[in-house]
Amino acid sequence: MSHALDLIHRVEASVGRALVGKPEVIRLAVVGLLARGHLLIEDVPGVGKTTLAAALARSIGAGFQRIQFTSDMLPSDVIGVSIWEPGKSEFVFKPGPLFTNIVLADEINRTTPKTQSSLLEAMNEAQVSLDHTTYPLPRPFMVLATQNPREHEGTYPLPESQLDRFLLRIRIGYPGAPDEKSVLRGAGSPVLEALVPVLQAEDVMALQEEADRVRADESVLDYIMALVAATRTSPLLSLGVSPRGSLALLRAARAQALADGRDYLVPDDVKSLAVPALAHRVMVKGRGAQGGGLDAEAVLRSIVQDVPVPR
Amino acid sequence: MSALFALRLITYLLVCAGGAALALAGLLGPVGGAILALALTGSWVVDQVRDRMPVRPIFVWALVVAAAVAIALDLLYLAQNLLDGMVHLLLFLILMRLFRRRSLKDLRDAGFLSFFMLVAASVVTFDVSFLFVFIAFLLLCTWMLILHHVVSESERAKTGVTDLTAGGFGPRSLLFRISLAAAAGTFALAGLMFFIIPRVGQATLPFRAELGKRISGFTDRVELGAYGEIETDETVVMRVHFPERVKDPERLPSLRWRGLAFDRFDGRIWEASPRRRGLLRRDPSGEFRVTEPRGAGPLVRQEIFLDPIGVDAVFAAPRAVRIQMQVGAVGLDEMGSITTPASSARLQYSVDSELEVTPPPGLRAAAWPVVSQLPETARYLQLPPLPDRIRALAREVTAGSRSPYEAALKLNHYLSTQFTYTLVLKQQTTLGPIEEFLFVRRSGNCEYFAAAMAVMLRSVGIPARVIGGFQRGEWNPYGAYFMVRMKDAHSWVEAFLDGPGWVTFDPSPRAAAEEAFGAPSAAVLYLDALRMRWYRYVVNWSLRDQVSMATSVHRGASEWRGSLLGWRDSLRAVPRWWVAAIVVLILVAAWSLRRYAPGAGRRAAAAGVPRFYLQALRALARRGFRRGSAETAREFSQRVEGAAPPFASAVAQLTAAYERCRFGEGALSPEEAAALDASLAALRRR
Amino acid sequence: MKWPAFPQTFPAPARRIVDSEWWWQPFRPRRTIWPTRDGWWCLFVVIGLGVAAINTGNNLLYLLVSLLLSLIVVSGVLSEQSMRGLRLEADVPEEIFAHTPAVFGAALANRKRRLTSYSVTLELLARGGPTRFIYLPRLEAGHERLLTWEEIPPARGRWRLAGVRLTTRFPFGLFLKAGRVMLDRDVLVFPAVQSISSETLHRLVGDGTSTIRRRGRGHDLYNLRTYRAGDDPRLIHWRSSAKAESLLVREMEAETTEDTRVVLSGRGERGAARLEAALSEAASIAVHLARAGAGVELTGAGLFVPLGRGVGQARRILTELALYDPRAAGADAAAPRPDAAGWRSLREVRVELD
Repeated sequence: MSHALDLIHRVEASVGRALVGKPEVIRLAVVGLLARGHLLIEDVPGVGKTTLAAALARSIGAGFQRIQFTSDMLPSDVIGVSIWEPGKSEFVFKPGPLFTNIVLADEINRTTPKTQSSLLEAMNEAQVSLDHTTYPLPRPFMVLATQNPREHEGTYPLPESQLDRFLLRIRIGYPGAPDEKSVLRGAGSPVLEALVPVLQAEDVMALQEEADRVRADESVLDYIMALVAATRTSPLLSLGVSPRGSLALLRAARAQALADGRDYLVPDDVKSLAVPALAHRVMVKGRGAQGGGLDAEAVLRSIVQDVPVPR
Repeated sequence: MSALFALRLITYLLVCAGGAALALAGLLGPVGGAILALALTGSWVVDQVRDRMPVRPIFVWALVVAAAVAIALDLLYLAQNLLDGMVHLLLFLILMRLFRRRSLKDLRDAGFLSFFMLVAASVVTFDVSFLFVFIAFLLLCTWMLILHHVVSESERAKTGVTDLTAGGFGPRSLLFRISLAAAAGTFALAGLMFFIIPRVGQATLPFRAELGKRISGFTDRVELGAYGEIETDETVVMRVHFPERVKDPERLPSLRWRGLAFDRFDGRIWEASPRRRGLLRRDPSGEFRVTEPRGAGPLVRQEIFLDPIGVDAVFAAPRAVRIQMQVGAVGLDEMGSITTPASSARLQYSVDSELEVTPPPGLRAAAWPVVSQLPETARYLQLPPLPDRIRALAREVTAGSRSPYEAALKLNHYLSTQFTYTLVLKQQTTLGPIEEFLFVRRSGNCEYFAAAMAVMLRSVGIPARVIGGFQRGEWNPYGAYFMVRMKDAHSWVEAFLDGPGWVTFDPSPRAAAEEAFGAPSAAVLYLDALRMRWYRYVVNWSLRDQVSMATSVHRGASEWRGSLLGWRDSLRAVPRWWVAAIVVLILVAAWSLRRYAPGAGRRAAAAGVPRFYLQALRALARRGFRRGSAETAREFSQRVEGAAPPFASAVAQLTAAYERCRFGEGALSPEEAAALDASLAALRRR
Repeated sequence: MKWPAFPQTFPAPARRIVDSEWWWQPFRPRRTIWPTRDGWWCLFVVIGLGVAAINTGNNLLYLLVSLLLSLIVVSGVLSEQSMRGLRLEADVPEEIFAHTPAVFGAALANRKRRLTSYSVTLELLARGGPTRFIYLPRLEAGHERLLTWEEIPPARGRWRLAGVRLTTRFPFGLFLKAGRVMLDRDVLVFPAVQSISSETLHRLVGDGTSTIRRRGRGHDLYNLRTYRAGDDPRLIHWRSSAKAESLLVREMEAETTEDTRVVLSGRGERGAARLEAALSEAASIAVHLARAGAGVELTGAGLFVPLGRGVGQARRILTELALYDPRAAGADAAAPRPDAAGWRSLREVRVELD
């Protein structure tokens, strides 16, 4: 137990050296990693999305790829392609950039729905199917996808059914003034290269398994059910959280408990993760596909503030 | 209890408070009170069954018309005066609202109208009980207004009111605490405003006030052998306050309150011969100069509140030198009796008196029994035909005296030691009352003592008169004044001595007899002090008081600036009782605002919650921290830590242990359990 | 012939604020206070009793007058306490469609450090006064609550919102303390967008049953052909190349939803109802196509939105349709002709306004 906590603290400290002043974002990224989930980062450019992903990859000694999505990108550009090798007279699979541990899928809403769905399917099943052959993706595997919510021009917003595949949706936000200053002073980028792995891929998988063993009391499970049920009956939402969403919340909460050094869940784990784990899984009534007006996070926050917590 | 039910209940209570005000003011007799109570009960019952048994509107209208006709007749013919008629109309309107209650508006109107009951009462009463009704009304009315506000707002928005009325309507409910704080604030502010709102002039008494409250008993003559209950009537009729902070007023010599002087005795009755009453005019300083001080005794200023007792006398410690009184003129006769035409109302006046000292200064061993200085000497030596043995007794007692003073002292001593004081008076013989007292019964009340001494003084040639007034009364330490009751009515003697003039002698051994009664309880004293202040600072509050308050506050403020020790005086400038009341109110308000924390948290007795955590929650609830229903233990802990740093470590420890026991599979080791007990104790103790 | 000029960038349409009183804003009081009916009664009684007290000099009347006065003051203090530090942030949905319930929301936050706010009401104004009320019994310090309500826009085009304001009658219901009116501004209402009927869908995929099959940049295979210099190497189909032993490249089928021009024909002379229905249909088609990833162009009398794609294009078209009035377009502003410069041949969907 304390060993796990120690490892997690080392990762967080290591990432924290590169991404200054955002401990809660780092915690969410680590939670995503431990829960075998993927992160959707919604933010304007230049707040450290790449730094976060790269630093996380370096800290766990894993492979890292960045895919910059554009509108003319094809599915094969992501998952790879089978190439005829005349010398061997057989098809050789040329794996795409997806075949690594940590993937930063930048501006995922810039590409066509086809390419998006090929990425998301791969993400979901941790494998790539091509020409009747399946190629498993390396483990651990984690996608950090980003999209800029302010842009409408020439974008293809992810459909709600696809958003469901992300464990958490988070925002990084601008750093606080003192931290921004220390970034300017150079505390940030050169550090990235200097980061050394503080744990290995096997450790990550061991931690993931440990997260699965975190004890969830009956009352906490009831609390999750109550939260999810509240999203389904809320008059403000036209689409509540699916069963997949409640599972995701439980998984994330377990990882969070582990990262907090506990082998049992407390309601706080659930409560603090409810908004990042559920907000992208609901649809607000009377709202366009991309937004404005009431946002789902505000609705969820008000739900979380109303649902009674187990005593 | 639903919010609407609570609102109804409070409205009814408000109407009851208004009714109580009317009853205390004498506007609602026992019959009227019973009718009102009956009607209120009836409307309550009707309200309960209205939904089940709809009343035909024709009946309602018939009732209303009948009542309206009755009210009109009442106003025109039946009621004793306009005020009574208005009160009846008011009651009718309120009851009509309550009977035909359809919406919140009717309840609210009934509540508003009951305020006018208070107004009606204020016109005719000035009793301190009005204060209690006032406070009760204030508490109820803030509660009713807040409740009405909440219910009507939520009715309008078509939502429930559970959020504000969490915890019901008991003394711990949020709504009640808000209304209590509002009432406390309103009361403090109303008090402040009351004192500050400029008065145009003189405070007047409510009209009709004298009708109900006149105390009968004190008469303008002394009739021997005809006594009723005067001597045992405990009603306080006069209160004497020393505004100049006389040190230890109980030790002042020979304090009694002189009223009327009697010079003519017909064998049974002492009374004043037809007086030549002069009118005293106000001098430029606004005072009435009664006489010149002799320059012997201490000058003491008294502030006197006198209830109407049926005589026009102005009571004061002898010898009154100056009087300050808000009337145009006072009467003064040659015997020093001061009278005022406004005697049917409560009087408030200040008197400067020069107290007598013993022995009287300037005594001359003059020729006796000739008195040269006194005009109309014969008047004070007048005697009816007397049995010889009275004269003989007087000569016997005074034998060997070298001066009238000595003779008077001897008589005084003789009467006060050889005779006993009693209230049980029964005629035993057919002798004259003085003769029976001196030779047969040898006991009597003060009037016998005074009459006998005056007769004996006159019989030996010393001019004397009988004085009617009050003895000193009880000292009330809570209000620093003498409380003079009806039973303190007293008689004594004044004898004229060459040199000092009229000198007081009090032969009755009354004080010794009365010590057996024992002192009244603190509660009685306190209540009377309250009454005194009520008269002094509320009922009689006037422009003059405001001016003097302003100057004393100003003086106090400058003194405070001047010296650090001056704070005592500046506090003294404000009535101390009010300061105390305001401080108490602020404390009450702070106490009730203290727990503005979210409610709920009582159903935590669910399975699995460790006992120590429940105890901790209870301990924190007592300190005003309540865990909200959607608040996790950790958030609650952080909130408490932020608001009350002293508890931070204890709460954090308890919360961590709670989480482990509740959601994990942890069990407490004995050491941990001991540590938790210590934390719990810390929460409870501090 | 010259096309009407169109701005290149559009502000978010709902946020166009028409506030002719901007200069007055700094001088407007933050809160207004006005007696309620009960409050007026209370004031009348104070004055009446005050006169009576002065005339009679009865101190108990003075006491009752000061009771009423201090009730008024305490009421003012408590209601100020309730309203102080409350921050209302009201928001308009970015897309509002005619005849469709739009959810409006206002986040009400209590920014005070310690004190709870009690009994505040959000009044939804309408012509002639507030009609609906959202009542919030309490809001703890530091908490935030989301208040929502629905409005159904009567028609497309500019729509003047009546506004909302935060009020309280706390604690005694004697005075109404109100914040500034918010949301009293013009918003743009798009034509109603319905789901596409099967009939319309039919029209979109052509006149017959066959799908349009042409080369394009879609993802489904349309044809294979030999590699030519300049082809994107990513398009080489290795499996087929191996069989054919020469490099074959894939030609992909165009997206089933191809770029489309929505043509509004006619001038809406057969009545407003018909015009609105037609514009709603045009909007539905455009949104459907844009969501599917196709490029959409819109033309009509005095109206031209050049080809574009994505959410931005959908919004642009909706904005134009919201404000479109063919009868005001002028007689000479005919529909664009095919021979005009910059004309591209696209599949056309015709929507009759007449």
